[in-house]
Amino acid sequence: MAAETNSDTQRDPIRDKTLQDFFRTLKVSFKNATIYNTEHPAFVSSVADLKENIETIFNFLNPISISFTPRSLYMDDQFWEGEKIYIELGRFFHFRKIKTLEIRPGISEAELMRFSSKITLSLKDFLKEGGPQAVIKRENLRHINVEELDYTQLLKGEGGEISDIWTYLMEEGLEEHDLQKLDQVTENFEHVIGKFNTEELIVNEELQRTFSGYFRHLKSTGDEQYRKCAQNLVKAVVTNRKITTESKFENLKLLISDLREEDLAHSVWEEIIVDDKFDSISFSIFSKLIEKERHMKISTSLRDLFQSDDPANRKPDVEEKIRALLAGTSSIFISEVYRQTLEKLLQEIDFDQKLTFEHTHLSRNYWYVLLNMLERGKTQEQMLINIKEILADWKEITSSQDFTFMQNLWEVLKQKEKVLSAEEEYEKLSRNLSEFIEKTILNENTDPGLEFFLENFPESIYDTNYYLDHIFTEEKISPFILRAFFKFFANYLFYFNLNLEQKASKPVFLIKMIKALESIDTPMSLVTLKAIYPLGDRSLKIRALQAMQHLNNRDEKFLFQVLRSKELDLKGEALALLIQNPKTKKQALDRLLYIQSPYGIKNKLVIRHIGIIKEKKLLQAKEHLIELRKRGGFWNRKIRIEAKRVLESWDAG
Amino acid sequence: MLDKIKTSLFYFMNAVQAGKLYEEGHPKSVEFLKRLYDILTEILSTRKEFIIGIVDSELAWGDEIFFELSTKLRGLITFLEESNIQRVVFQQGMSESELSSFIHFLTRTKRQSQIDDEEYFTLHGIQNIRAGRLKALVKVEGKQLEVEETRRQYTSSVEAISSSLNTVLNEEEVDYMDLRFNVLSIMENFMGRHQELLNLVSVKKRDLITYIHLMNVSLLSMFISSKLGFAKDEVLDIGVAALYHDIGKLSISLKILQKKEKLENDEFTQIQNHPLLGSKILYKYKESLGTLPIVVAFEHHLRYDLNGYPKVAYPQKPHIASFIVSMCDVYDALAQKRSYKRDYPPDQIFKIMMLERGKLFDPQLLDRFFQYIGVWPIGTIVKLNDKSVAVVREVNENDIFNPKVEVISPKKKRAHINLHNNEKFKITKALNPYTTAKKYLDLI
Repeated sequence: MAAETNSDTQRDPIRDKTLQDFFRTLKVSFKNATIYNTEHPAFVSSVADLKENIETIFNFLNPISISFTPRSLYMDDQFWEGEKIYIELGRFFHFRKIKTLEIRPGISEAELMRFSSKITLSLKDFLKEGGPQAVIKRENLRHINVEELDYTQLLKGEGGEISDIWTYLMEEGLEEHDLQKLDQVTENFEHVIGKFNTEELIVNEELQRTFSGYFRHLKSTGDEQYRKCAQNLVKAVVTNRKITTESKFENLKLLISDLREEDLAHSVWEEIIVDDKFDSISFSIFSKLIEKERHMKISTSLRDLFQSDDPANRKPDVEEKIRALLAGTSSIFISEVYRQTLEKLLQEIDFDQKLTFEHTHLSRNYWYVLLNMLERGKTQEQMLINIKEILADWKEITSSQDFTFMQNLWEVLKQKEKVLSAEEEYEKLSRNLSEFIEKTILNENTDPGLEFFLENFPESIYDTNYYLDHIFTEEKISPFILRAFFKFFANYLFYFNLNLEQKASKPVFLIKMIKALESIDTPMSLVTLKAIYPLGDRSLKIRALQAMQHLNNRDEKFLFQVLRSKELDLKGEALALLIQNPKTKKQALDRLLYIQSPYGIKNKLVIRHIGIIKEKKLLQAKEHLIELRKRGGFWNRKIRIEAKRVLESWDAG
Repeated sequence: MLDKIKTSLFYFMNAVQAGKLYEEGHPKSVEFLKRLYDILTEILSTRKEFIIGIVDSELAWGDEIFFELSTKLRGLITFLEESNIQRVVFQQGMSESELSSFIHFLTRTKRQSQIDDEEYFTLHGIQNIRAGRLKALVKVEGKQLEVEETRRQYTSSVEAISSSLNTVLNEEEVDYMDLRFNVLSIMENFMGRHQELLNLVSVKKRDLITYIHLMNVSLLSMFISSKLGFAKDEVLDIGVAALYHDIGKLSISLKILQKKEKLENDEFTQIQNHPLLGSKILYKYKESLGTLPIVVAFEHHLRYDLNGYPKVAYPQKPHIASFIVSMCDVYDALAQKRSYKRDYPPDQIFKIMMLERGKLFDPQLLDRFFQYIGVWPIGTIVKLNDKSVAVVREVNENDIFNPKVEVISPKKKRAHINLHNNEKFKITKALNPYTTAKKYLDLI
């Protein structure tokens, strides 16, 4: 049922029907009033129907009184709600500030026509006409009375019409110098501006004039209020996602031209500090919104605000926000002055760290409490309690991968070895630690924190095959794995190389091995690299020789053998290694450059060797080249030329 | 039947505690509610109603007063008394959802209590449970009663705290939920009222002084943690850890602690080792209390610059909870009068603590501490430059030296002044609530 009665008595259905007809004819008259002029037969006829309905109602209701809420009507002691027609009529009158409409006997069709024509003006125009009372007076509607809504009640409402009412209130307040109305706008400005489509502020000149006037009024009345409203206006514009940096801001610029630089800076400051929605797009809109020549001053004020003692400036979130503003997709549209200011702020402000309850920090400190207690432990019983606690948390400790803690733990365990080594818990913890560290290493982890263990672990808890399986079956290779193997199983290098031979057809594996070996400067690395050398093709051989350059150990015999090979690039790599040692340098260079070449029969080879020296830029060969440059005999001309060319290129370079 | 009744009281307490500690729908809340519902249903299967009453701070059923359960059910008794409930009636036909709504009604926080009880019962369809309020609300009975009520609540909390601490010292089992519930009550009743409590509560009993200090440290620590935005669970954990942070010291002889003469070497070592001792004691309670109390007890004398004690081989940057407790510990110790020291006024405490900025205390945390409590904390009675006396009502976090005050004397000058916006007035000094400000205490 659409109508709800307040009275306990049964309602008369005929009476209700009459009222329903009245609502319908009222709506039809209003509808026709918006479509047709007053002479149009359709409008005239609908008003006649309305009049007839009204006269019928006078038989049982005199005067006719209807009250309105935004979603219902109240008439004849009952609410009329739920149906579309009641909602529409209720809303229609409510937004025209009409709380109650009263129609008295004697009303004419002409009066109803004038009333319908005026009340159906757009809300904006209706309010411009002065609102309901003014219309009734001007149109001489003697049989109609209205009770107006208080603005405060009206403005609490929602919907698109609200902005029109606010505009009207602003205009009226300015025209009539009605401070009460203007104060009402000011008090609700944050809410008011939220009701406006800020895009309209960019295009609608009339609206801009109203706002300009309103802001002038604010400036004249109080700085505090003015700043508050200005801030809300700027905020509404810059955080409007529909506005783009391409928008025409000229009109809006006029609107805020009366705002001071400090106020604008304050708005931006507040936005950065508190508004999550303020991003690089917002800032770029702000940049466009403000005249270029004002940027410097605003920027200075902004910097001052950020350098004030306000603790909000130092919040970690603010640092994040500034970084996000500089890195955001639209940051390029932020004026350079602001960009520089933001960058400076990042350097100048000593931002707070995030003060949070770190659960990982708590766990770590708890383990250190246990460790320190263990370290200080005097009785075996107490120490074993600590060890048990550490064992209880072992899973968490290992998943934290906190190698510093583990180093400290290893130190303490070593320290307590004499007293506790016979204890099961001690044995278990020591083994757990070694096991975890070795497994971590075998899993190709190369965290620098593991270095300590490679240096300090005296032995492995695993056997050779465990390592060999990981390396050659699972193909896990890292400098740490190889270092561990060389340290723990130095006597098993033979088996290592045997496994290596099985991998001769796996260049990817061998390259990975070479890479790992070059970072381990041990004699074993050299042995292994030499073992790889014959297994691969030329490129792998070159890679192995290059890896040897990273090692301090050299096998000169091996390198001189390579020097004897026919492959120039292999010779080059071997020479590069031999030349580093003064003892082998001369011998190697003599062997390549001072070849017996009667009448130049082997000059081509010498020239190729000069080419290697040039290519590898082996400056140590300078003296030999000078010698060659001087070599007599016309058949040595090409050698002289080539040696000279290389020397000149070096001098030039 | 009597056993069932007794059990139901424990289940009732558990359900209330779980309701306070956990969100609605939390497995613990659901479990305890179900248990309570089952036993109440059983009891109500043989009678029309089951009435629990409180007589002289003891739980009663019919003619039976459960004196022997007084200690164990103290949490429930105190809670019901603080909620002004002296009679709870469960009636046949009570549904589980009614019971759930009723527990929710009992445990909703004060902030949420915007509708009156009858309205709440009607709205939530609670027809078969009634909670009788025999006393009128304290608020309407005047200021004096409110003060008395605060004192009573405070003393009752201190007693609860001393009981929790003694449980650990006596190596008895800790009821973790009961403990957290007590801490929560402290938080809800007194948070942000540290100075006010100093004004109101002057405890002469020497054996209570330590407990009062620990409760204050807990309270301050929870206040700071909560202001820092920590989660409720973390705040409560810190509150619990703060209560136990000096358990090691408590177990050292009182004689050493209050000795005025120079300490012997071994006495000094004992004192320096109290954090270690505290951690050791708390180890045993790791399962119920968690690791935070152990860490805080161990670290609360470690300094920001990593000096301090205990001297350890591997010093770590203390956890933020340890820093908070350490700061609050120092603050309250300086604010309290002891046999061996005076009570410092707030501005003096500020100066003393700021000297340790970056040394003993984390500078950023110390700044935040004073940002939240102000140089002149809420409740401080101060003298203004025009000789009038005022009480601090609100801290200005952006201007910690100039809070909002209410002038209380002379009467004709009574007004609220925001000293941040008013250059005419300045605080010249704080008045000691036990001496110079005593006569003004009634005016606040």
